[in-house]
Amino acid sequence: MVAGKAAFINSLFVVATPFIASFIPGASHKITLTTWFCVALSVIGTYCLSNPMSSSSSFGVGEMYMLGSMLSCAFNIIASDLGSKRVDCIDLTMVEFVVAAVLCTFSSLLMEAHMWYWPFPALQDGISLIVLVGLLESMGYLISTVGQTYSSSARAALIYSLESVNTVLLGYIILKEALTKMEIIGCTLVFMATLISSSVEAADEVPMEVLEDVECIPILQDVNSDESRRLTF
Amino acid sequence: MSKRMICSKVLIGELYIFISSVIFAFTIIASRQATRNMAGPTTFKAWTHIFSTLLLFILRYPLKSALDSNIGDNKEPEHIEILVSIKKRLSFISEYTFDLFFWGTISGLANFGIAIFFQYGLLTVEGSLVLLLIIFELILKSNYIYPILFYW
Repeated sequence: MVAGKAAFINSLFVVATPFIASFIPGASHKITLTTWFCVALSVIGTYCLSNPMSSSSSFGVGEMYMLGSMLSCAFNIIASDLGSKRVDCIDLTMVEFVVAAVLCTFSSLLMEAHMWYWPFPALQDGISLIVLVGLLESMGYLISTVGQTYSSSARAALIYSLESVNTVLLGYIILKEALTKMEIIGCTLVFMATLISSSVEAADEVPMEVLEDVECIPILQDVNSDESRRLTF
Repeated sequence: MSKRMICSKVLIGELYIFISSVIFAFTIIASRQATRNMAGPTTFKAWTHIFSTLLLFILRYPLKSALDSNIGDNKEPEHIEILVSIKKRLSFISEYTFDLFFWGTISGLANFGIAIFFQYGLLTVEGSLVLLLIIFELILKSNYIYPILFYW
């Protein structure tokens, strides 16, 4: 499988997230027509960026792995979205990592038993990478869970789709690599999708829990005031 | 005032998500490096998750104050019928504990799925993987960032 195709399959979690969320009662109410429009825009943009049709059209083991990864991404975003609105984000991330650590250790013992003897070769070979990835992962998941307290899963998925744009732009800035026309169109579309989703819907799609934070009493009083009654009639 | 405040909270939340997406980019770069250098991708993920758990456990209280992640902001989430009935049957467990372990387990399962599928995907795919992984190639080419990242 070629990189572009893998990228495109994996990026489909932008579509999968709101689609799966629409079947889950607690997560479905936040998805609007604008979100779906932005999702479509983002997928077209990622298609332009990755150009998957340039590779072969066969569907093999690599593609299945990427599909599994894509579905896992979607479920992770939805579960974090629903969980972060019910419990403390740090506790939630900690339980998440405990479960993942137990499952990973168990599968590792099954598939890579030769790696589990004293002194652990994995630790000897790559302690710096383990520490680096562990640090980045824990902080990344924690920050995203905190962020999802105020945002919906569909829009979180849209923001994650900006990663591909970041990659291309980083190449342009650091290495002065020229962008092709297709890449420029792709970047623009994904960026537009995220921008529309964040700016247009921000006010309309505010989670109820955020509303309760805000001082609403003066506004309610204003509605009942003489002046507002005069305006109404 | 209210609408502006609400918008700013939503935008701050989305800024957090954006920052985490940038962090994930570097995570994948480092994971890619690990699959090239180390045997056993599942073992690598197991160790990173064990380290992450320990780190979160140690930094739990400082992070709580730094990230403002209390659930005071998260009132009245929509009830899910099936969960409500399960909670009634398991009345000896508090609602918070049930929610914590239920959603934590679901997220953990998904996290495990990402770890395994992605890590094996990294081994299966020829060349660089997801567009994100192109960053890795870029960093490898730019000699000054790579040493900072991997030989610190």
